Amino acid sequence: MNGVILVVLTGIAALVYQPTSDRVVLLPAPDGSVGKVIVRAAGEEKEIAQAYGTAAVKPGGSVQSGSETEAEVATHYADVLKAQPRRPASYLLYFQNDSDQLTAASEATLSALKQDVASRPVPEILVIGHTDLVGSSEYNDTLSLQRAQVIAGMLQQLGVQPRSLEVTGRGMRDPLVPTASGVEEPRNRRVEVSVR
Amino acid sequence: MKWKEHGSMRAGWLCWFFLLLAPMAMAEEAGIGTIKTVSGNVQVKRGTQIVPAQPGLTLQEADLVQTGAASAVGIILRDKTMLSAGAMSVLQLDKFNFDNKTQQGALQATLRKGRLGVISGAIAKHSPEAVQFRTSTMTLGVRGTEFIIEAQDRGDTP
Repeated sequence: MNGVILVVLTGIAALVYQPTSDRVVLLPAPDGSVGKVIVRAAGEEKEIAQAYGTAAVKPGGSVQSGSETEAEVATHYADVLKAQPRRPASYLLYFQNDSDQLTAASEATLSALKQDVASRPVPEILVIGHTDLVGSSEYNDTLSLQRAQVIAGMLQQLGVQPRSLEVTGRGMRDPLVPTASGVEEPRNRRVEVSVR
Repeated sequence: MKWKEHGSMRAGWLCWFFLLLAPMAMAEEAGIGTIKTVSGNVQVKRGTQIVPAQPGLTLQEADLVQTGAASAVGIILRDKTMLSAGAMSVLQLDKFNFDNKTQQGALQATLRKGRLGVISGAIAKHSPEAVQFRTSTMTLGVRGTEFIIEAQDRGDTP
């Protein structure tokens, strides 16, 4: 008898899951942080901000909040999660002071970058040059683009074969370490290579 | 900041720079994003044209991405927004623009049916109010996050 009830309950649970309305489930980022989604329907607006929190639109346009477990999400949405492309990665390369040579650490980064590009199905690369806050913005725009071009040239020379390669210079607009104008800062003299 | 350049070095790099022009030109007409993963039967409807989806296919604004049974697709848009759709899904990329320099732009997409995973990108980070995902019954505002949308098949999708 108890077994029968259990089967019936399990059946009901399965029916309950069968979503009959549009819904959204919020996921945590790999670092555990959770953002927010604001769900607007005809009759209501609700915010979800918890990992695996859900919101479903009911007939009439009200929004019902709920939650799933990590395991349920992994099962219900296995194909969606599996189809996710590899996350983009970003590499920072630094120049030795007063030279166009990379630092030793950055040589190693370059080789990791090469492997990353080779392992992606359709690699696209964006090379962004930056400078510190010494000099005029025009001068630094030119310098940052030059740095990016040097790195792009190195990648080509290493035999890196992306599907597309875009080169840009952001000058002194985007310092990694904010400083006052005119301050020499090695960490800002960098090229960022973004791979996706 | 000081950054010496040697004439011969510069000539060498200049050479490489010209070799780079071809892929750079390609990047300029790169569209709004690229298909990265495909399994099963996936196609892109562009106006009256139907293009079979394969990794590397460039997407355009207003494209309709459709997946068949036991099929899935993964996409990265130019602002690094990542989209993945499961089986029997129809995703319309209504609107997309993005400026790489300022990181500003706009993204609007509609899931007509099926299931869509979203990992938000630079636009959601820098101008979240410019990002909108929709189904026929709901509209989502996004504040830098990852989520899955599910939309019922109401029989009115192509």
